[in-house]
Amino acid sequence: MKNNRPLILSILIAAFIASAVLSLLIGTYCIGIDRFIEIISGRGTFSENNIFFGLRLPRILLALAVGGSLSLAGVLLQAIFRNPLVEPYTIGISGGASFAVCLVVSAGLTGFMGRFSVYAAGFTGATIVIAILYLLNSRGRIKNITTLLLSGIMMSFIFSSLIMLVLAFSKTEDAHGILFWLMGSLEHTDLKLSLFALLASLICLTTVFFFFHELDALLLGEEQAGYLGIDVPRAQFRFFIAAAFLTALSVSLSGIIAFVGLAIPLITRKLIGSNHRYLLPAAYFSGAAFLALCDLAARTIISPMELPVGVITGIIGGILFVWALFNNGKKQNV
Amino acid sequence: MSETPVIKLTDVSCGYRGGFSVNHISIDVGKGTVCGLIGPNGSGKTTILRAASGSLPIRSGKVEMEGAEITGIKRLDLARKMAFVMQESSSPFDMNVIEYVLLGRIPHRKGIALATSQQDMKIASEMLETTGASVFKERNLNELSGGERQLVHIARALTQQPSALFLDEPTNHLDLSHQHQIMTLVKKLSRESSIAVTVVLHDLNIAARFCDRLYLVNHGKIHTSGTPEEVLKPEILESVYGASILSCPDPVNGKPLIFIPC
Repeated sequence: MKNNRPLILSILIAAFIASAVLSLLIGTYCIGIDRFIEIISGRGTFSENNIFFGLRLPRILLALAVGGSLSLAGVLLQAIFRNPLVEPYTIGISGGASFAVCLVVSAGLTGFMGRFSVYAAGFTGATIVIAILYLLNSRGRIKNITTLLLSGIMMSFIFSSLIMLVLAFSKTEDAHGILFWLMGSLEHTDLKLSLFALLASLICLTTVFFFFHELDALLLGEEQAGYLGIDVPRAQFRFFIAAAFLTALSVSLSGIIAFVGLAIPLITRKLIGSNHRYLLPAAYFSGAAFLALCDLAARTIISPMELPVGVITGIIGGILFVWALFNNGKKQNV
Repeated sequence: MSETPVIKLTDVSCGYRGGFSVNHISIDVGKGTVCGLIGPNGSGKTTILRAASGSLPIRSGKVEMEGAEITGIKRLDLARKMAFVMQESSSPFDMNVIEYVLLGRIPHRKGIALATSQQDMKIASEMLETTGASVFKERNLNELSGGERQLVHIARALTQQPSALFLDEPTNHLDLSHQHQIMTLVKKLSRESSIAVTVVLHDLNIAARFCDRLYLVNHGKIHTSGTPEEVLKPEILESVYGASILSCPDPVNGKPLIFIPC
């Protein structure tokens, strides 16, 4: 199976492109292939252009960016913590982002600052958590990688409680808005923002790809990786920062989208193995395709109404995760 | 031993913060020799091994690799010169044997190498052949038995092409036949590839049979060192292990044979 890895990777890239095109064509207003070609060659009608470039394309680009980012962050964190059950939301970054968004929404800042205040709050909250973890690490308070993981988990718990506190004192409409944000949505974006997110996530993928051998070595454990000439603390921190950035980017733009960062790395590992030369791009492209398709389902199941995409990813991702866990379970020591 | 030892510890003291330490350790391991560290549980054998391999910082003394102080050697250069096989370890992730063995080529990567070179693949295959692990090269590491896995760990270490090899209790949890297989391989490697091997062992009879030189460690210090015949004397062992011990020459090879009388 693992000798076919270039083929599997090619199939996943094809699936990534196919899911993007499919999502662009299907929706409340379906676009035929002939119209699709007309629109992208600049000959679409005003309403077609509005739907395609104003709504659908930004949303799908964001789905690809967020899906790819969360999945990639999952792979990175699982390698540095040597634990296949760690995901981007375990390390407290999403907690910090969520809490900051809660504060902004309940303080009524979205009224005059618009959607931007939510993005800014999400990213600031996430960055503050990263900064706290960085400071603890640089001052030698964090002795090993398990302490870093536990610090992140504890921060998640603290922020969950703080979010509940804010919700308890919020007005009903604010609480409703916060809850919807927490369930995840790819709706509120524009083309520039989505393109930025996609580009940033692809730059991250390319950068970490050049260090794939360090991730492979980290799977053997810190001491053994050191014997292979790897500067372990530096490598761990480099990948941690990359994963934290990808998570902050995703959470601030789309809220909490569950299970992509946990289920997709696990399933991709089953398909292509743990060699990061293949696993990194495979996880990115399959995560992107998965979220684009989940968003397609969220948009179309009860069309013209929409379901929160985080609910769809939670259900489908959870089922796939259990399937992957029990399928060939002897091999995987999860 | 007229030539420069591959590994040389001179009056080394080191330990863990607020805990156990080893003191005034001096050890020489020459090219093509197998040096055994023996002693009771918790005596400091693994700590000495970690200090000798540079992974545990030392408080005083000197650790040298081929005449150069280890602290002055770059991390990658060190990984090209020495390899370490830790006590039985498994990965929480699936990895097949050939991929795992190829990780030993990481220190030899040149620039941004995105594909496995022919040279790396050739060396990894050769080492799998040498250790007899090539028959299961396509299998998953976690599917192998303890003995098979140990052979693969050694193949991975050899793929680093080291001049010094450290083994921490390589025969732990293995049956008699695999213990013999692993140690015969280690001895052969030291002889044929001139590797300086430092190995932590619990089984004194295996140590007697396969090591050229032994260091008996007790309470963080070298109690006695020398050839197996010099170290494995009942009176010395009794004082360290606190048990009544008998010794007689092995009828096959004349090495000391240690046993505890009923």
